[in-house]
Amino acid sequence: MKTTKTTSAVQSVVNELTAELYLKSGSEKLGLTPEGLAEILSEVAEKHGGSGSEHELRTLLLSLRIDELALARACAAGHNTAWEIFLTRFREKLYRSALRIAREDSAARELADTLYADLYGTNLRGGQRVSKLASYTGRGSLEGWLRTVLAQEYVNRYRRTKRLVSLEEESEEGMHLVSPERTAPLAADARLTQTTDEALAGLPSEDRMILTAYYLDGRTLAEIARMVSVHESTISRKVDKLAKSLRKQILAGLARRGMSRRQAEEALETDVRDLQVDIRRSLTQDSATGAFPGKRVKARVREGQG
Amino acid sequence: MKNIPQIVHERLKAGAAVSGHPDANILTAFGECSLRESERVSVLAHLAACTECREIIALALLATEGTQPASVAARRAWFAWPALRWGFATAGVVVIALGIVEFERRQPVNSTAIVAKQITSAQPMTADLQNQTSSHALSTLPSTASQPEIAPSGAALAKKANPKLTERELRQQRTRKESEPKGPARLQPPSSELMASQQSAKAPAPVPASSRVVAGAQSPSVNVQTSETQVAQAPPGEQFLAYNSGPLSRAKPANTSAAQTNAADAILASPRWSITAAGGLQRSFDQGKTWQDVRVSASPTPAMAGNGMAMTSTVAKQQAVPGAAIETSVKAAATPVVFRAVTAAGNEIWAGGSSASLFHSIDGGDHWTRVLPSSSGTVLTGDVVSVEFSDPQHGTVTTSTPEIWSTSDGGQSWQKQ
Repeated sequence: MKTTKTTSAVQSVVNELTAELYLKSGSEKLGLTPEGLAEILSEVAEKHGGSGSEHELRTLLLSLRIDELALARACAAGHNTAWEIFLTRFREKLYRSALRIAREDSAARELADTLYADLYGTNLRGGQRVSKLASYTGRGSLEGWLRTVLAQEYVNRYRRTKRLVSLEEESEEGMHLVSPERTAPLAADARLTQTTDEALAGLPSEDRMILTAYYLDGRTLAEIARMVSVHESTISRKVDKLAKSLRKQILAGLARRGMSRRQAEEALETDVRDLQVDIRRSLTQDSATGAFPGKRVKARVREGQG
Repeated sequence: MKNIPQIVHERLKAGAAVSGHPDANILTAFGECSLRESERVSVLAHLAACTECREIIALALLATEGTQPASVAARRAWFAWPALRWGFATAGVVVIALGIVEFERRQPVNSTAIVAKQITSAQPMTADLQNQTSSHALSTLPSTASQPEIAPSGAALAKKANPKLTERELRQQRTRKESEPKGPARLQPPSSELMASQQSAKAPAPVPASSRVVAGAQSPSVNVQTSETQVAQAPPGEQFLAYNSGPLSRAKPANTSAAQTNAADAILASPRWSITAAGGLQRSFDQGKTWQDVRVSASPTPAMAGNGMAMTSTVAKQQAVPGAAIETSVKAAATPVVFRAVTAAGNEIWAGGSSASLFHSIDGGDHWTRVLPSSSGTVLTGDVVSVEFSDPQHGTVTTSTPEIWSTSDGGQSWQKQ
């Protein structure tokens, strides 16, 4: 019932807006018919229409990059005029984007050429040419979409390549000397884990994303700022603020769970896994500094357990 | 940057289970801030847990063509902060105001006492006064003006030329000062010329015709006259000159508002305009230190051609446009017009004078076009005694007959009030 209602709302809004969007998109010179455009709009509305209210659908369709959507879909349908326009506008940009991603000319060319083949539709499905451009929905710019697709292709390639690293390369890098990862993490205090999970769950999604991008991915403040479209100094302040507030929240949570302040601070500062990491790092270092780092660490462990 | 406890590090890494990666359309829209809020929150929740999608977003943004380094973008964004923008604007206004005050202070001073003495004096103005220089060029911005003000030296000189008229003017101006905002535009007079009056740059409501009686004269003596002032018929031999200055000339009095000083400083760079006692047009590019005569020839009187149009028979350089005043391009030639009013805004100059002469220049006075306002078969008559333009489009011309003509399209068409 809901699907039927949504579909009829979509059809109603599409019928209302097709004429206007057909003119706005310049579809005629690209070889698209009004019916063809209506079909595209229905598909996009069904996919991204949200709750399906007419108002939302209308807002969605009016916010689309309709001219680029028409161009992409006309290319996907095989219209030569559209493809010529596409090549004129995007060929060089695609290569430059690939170069920025791959940072190396031959890799960039390969990346761009592979994507071009996908865009043109060299793959056949049921005898029909399938173009990647048919999946573009106009929510963002076509240029931005092409960059995202390039990035996806690059990430996929890198992951495939990483899995296929040869044993010779591994031995060159000394990877065989690294002790195997623990199959299971050492059991930390369950209260610490629960409190930390609660503190992280209480953060807004954006804050969690910023923390992961900064502390896990090692992204720079500038990169993170671009990702969330804010000023770099905002990210800097936010990361500092989050780090401090997380610590406070975890300490408060541990106190609520019966730990004394001193115990909570020790639990937070002296994570067993930190000690393990330190030991491993110490053992693999060549320098003579820290003559007996292991002893110092053991002493701290004894204190913590006291 | 503060570190986070290792436990936080670990729990971030553990994260929630990643489900359903957003497609390229959604990731692109996320990067371009064109998602609905609910969609954005959902994508952020996914990105917080999905390393791969974060990598894709970061790479896609890295590949943005023409993206400036974040530090540059940050610097631009820094200046985009409204508070900082306003801060800089305010600081600029303060600096300009201080500069103008300093400039004003360095000008030769005509004390108020001298002005007062001259006002009460019944001495007729003599030709000698024409040589008295007043470096007090009082200028105000057109947008702020409706109240004319008189430079002290100008008042003194005007008073000597026609004591009664000047006193009346001064009385009227003092009365108006109490109720109206200040800020007329004034000129800095040439060193060899008498100070002229000021005129409101902002076109006010039409002044009753009775207040616009102006008499022409042949003598070189000059009276101060403003467009807002009710003036009596000038005695023969007197010549009224109305100096209407747009945003020209020198520093303003210290009590001028900051908004006026802000634009005045920008105006200091524009040429200054003045009218000699003989009705000649002059301009100065060095803030009044030296003046050049600008001669504008009066072209053959344009013939009328219908409602709101004026055409010339042979020298029109523009195609006639219905409802518009056709301008005849003329170059500076040797036949001077007896000018009575001039107003300038940068390189756009309007000057008017005897025999319905109204000229317009858009290049600082190098080339002039004669304009003959007309409407409903009626053309402007009389001497142009006042020209006011509050902006390049809206202006008013007052004649000696008296007539008031206004335009709202930079002189292309005119309406008689």
